[in-house]
Amino acid sequence: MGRRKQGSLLPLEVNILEVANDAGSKDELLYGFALARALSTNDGKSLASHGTLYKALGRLSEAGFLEAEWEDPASAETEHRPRRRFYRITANGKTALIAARAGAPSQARNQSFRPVRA
Amino acid sequence: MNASQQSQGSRVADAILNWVDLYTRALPAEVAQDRKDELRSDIYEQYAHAARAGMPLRSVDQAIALRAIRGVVADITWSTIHHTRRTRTMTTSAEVTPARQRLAGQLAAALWAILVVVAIIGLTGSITEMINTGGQVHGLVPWPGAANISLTIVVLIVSAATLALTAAIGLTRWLRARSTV
Repeated sequence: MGRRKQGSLLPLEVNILEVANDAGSKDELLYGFALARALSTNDGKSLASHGTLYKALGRLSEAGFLEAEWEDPASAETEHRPRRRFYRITANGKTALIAARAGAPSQARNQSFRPVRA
Repeated sequence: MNASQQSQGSRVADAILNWVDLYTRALPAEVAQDRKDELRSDIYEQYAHAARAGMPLRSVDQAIALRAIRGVVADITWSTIHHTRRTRTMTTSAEVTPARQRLAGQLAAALWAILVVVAIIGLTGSITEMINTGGQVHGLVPWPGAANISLTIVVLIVSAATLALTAAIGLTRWLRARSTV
């Protein structure tokens, strides 16, 4: 596999931002498995692998394109399930998505993939 | 059996979480725990979704195992990047702070100056001794056998070698400083 250009978004990352943007506009909460299902092109029969999905989510979060937040453990316990990690698209993420749609990686490069300090 | 029981009793889920433990073992506990919790939630949600869709348990196990296997390379890459970044951060923050770098430079310069002075004293002293007395000093000497010809020659050689070494170090530092300006 070739080395990617610095700052450019992979197709999977653009798709994640698309789904996150869509979820944000509908005020929906997005978490890992829901995202994997949304990304699936064949009705969830072939989902993104764990490693690829969470690596991409990590990169987008570190770049400041997504915000990640753990669900309140109490509400997860109420539903007897493990807590979810919710992802929200940020203003920088929207800018990068617009640039990626226009095929201009330089906009995304300006945002850079450097980790964002909390 | 509900999704919670399925994911908790699943050998596939256990194997995946053990794999997470393995590839995150060199990472900070918080990062490792976050990844593990995220995977635990993902696996649970997939079992829950499959149960709602009426999928047979065996095919869900297979689908989850396949997702984990297909992501192995990405898992290792992610872990390596995190580990490398952490190591680099620790090195720059703990070892090569500007203050430490300045102190190390000052100590090295002081040591270099002391060596130069000692070498010059040793060299001039031994040469003077060779010329004046042929390397043999009679009368008051620091200890029996001191200042004989052998010792004078040893002092001469060691002093010359030290001076050559310090000159080489000084020249290297000067050239390096010039090249970075």
